[in-house]
Amino acid sequence: MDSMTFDAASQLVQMLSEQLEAHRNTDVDVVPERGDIIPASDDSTRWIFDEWEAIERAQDSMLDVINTYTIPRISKLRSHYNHTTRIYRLPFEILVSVFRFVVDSDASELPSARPPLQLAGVSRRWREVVLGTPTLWARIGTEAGASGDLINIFLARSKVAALDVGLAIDDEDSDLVRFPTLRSDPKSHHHQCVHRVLEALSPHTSRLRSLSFENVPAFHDYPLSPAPQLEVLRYVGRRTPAGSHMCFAPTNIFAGHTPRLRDLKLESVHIPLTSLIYTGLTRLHLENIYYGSSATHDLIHALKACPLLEELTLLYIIFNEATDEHPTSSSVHEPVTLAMLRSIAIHPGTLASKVFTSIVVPSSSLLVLPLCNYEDFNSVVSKARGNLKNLARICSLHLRYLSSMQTRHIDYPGPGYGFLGETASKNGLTLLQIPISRQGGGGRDTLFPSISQFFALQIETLSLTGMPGALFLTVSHCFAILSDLTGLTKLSLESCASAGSFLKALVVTPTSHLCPRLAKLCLAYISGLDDALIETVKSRGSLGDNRAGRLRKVTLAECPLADECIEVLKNYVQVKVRLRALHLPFRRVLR
Amino acid sequence: MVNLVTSDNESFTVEKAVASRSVLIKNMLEDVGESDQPIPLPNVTASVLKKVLEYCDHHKNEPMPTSEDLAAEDTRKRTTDIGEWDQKFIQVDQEMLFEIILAANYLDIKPLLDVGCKTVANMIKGKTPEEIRKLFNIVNDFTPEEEAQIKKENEWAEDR
Repeated sequence: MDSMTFDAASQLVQMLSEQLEAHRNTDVDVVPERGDIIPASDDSTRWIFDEWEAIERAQDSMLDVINTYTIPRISKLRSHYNHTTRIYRLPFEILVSVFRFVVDSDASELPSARPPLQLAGVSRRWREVVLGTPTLWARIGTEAGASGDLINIFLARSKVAALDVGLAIDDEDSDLVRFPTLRSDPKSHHHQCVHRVLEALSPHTSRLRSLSFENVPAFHDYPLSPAPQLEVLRYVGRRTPAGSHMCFAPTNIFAGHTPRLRDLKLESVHIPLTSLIYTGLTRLHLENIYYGSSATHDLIHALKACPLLEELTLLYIIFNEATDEHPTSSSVHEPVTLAMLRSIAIHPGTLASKVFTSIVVPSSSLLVLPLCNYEDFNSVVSKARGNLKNLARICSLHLRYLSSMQTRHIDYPGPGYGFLGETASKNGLTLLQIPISRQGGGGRDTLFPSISQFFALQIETLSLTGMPGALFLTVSHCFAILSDLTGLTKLSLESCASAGSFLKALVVTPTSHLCPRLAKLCLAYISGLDDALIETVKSRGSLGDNRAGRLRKVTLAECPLADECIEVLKNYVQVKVRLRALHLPFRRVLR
Repeated sequence: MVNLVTSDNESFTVEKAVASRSVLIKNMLEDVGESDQPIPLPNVTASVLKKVLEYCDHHKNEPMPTSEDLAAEDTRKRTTDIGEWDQKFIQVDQEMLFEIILAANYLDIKPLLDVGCKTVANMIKGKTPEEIRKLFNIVNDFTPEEEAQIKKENEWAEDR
């Protein structure tokens, strides 16, 4: 305690003693004996209560004065102590950096309202750092709407910082699971939280940098003020087991003023394609939307306003059929060239074939085309072959059966995808991926022949991986597939139940010589095909050195063949035996 | 090779590629040119520099963060993921952890500074103010009025 505090406290104690002494001198010093009945308050006992109250008042005022001096001092001393701790050696800017990592952490780990509040409640210095850093308050989640005061604290403390707002109504929340009717009740706590945030945000729309809203309810009010700083906008409508509910936003959302908007995702949320919001985007994802008063050419028109578009995803987009079938004269246009496009994903095939006729896909773009087994790849892309510049570079085709674990990594809606068809250019650039639906069988009946036929003259490498016995291809199937692939130089079969059929189809006879340029055969995890392999290799490896199509090399990985079989093969071709399969056509990890 | 001298007067001779992970040292080397002169590091002790150089040596072949990377950081959402090697490297006591952070800041080694800050952030994440105080040996120095305000704010946040 410093000398001033000590002196003040001594003075107070002195004052109190004097007051008590003065009281005592005027009192009749009668102390009731044990067992005496104390009469109810009257004039004879009033002095007791007077003195009692006087002492308590004096005590309180003394404690107040003591607290006034001592509490700030204690607080200061504690702060001094804190400055001796290790973490206090970190300067302001490093603490800010640490706090930003905490605040930016995944929202699933931490409710987004709490981190800045918790950090600000540790000590005075931490509070000073947190309150002095507006960006720590600029990430706003649904929890910030728990009360009107809380969201206003965030908005006030974020000062002029750009805001990143992430709202979600969690249908898995225990309240909503127990009482599903609350999901569509605007008065429920969850909707009220969102409503409070949106209401408070309204005057701050100009500060919005990103806005993400999952499970948008149908009664949602969309912002109509300009959002000049908005870069990312994601609206995802409500999904229920019965389907998703379409939400309708007005054309003049954000007053059509979003000059910095680059990333737009709309799922089950309809914003008319005439809205200016579709301008200048680099990433556009539209999913599960019915454009009742628009046609495909309206979408193409919107894409025209996005010359820097890098990623385009269109899934389950439906247009007004009547408008689509009878395009107006203004809809007749040259295909739009999207020169910066890195990837484009479209489903279903009917939508893809319409869009492909109106846009030009650059030669290095990745095209993702999820298809159903019964769909004909040829009919989807053939009309627009000239516009799909990337397809011209394709020279390898890999088809892989996906286990259920891998299927989960393909995040396209619809039925589970059992196959992945992937093609690449000469330098290994993946240009086309075709996740093939499990529905309706195996993914080989129509699609595989259709794809191989489309690229027949281009494909130099064909890989089939993990084709289970249930999807067995007969010799005639394999014959049909291979007969188109006249440019094939390498065939890889890994864990493929139909390997025997392929080998038989490849046997050269006086009347059949499929894949005349085939020079390399790679087999992995395949057994019991000694005779078939010998027959194929014998027929193709003995064609004489002057024949360009002579099979020259066979690579075997984890293929338990008899030693005699390998010795026979070596008479015709170079044989390489590996312990483990090194040929992995799918190096790229799926999303 | 580059000769570095610590605050406790210990010398470290390291490859230029390793020392140049520090922007401070890299700039010094560029300013001075080819020279045998030792570079004094008055804010770093030998034990800390040894750790810092271990990090720099392991990451010597990685590209340095560009000015665009640094500029984008303000807008990008940060994650607290730390690579496997870095996680093992940073498993040190609090004293050394804060010394490494301070040294990374002084020597301007942004990736190491981030590893340190992420480690502290991971220690803090999900903890209550009281648990954080206990972790770092901090005492509650708020006055009752300040405490009442903080309590009110936290009640709002937990109001459900």
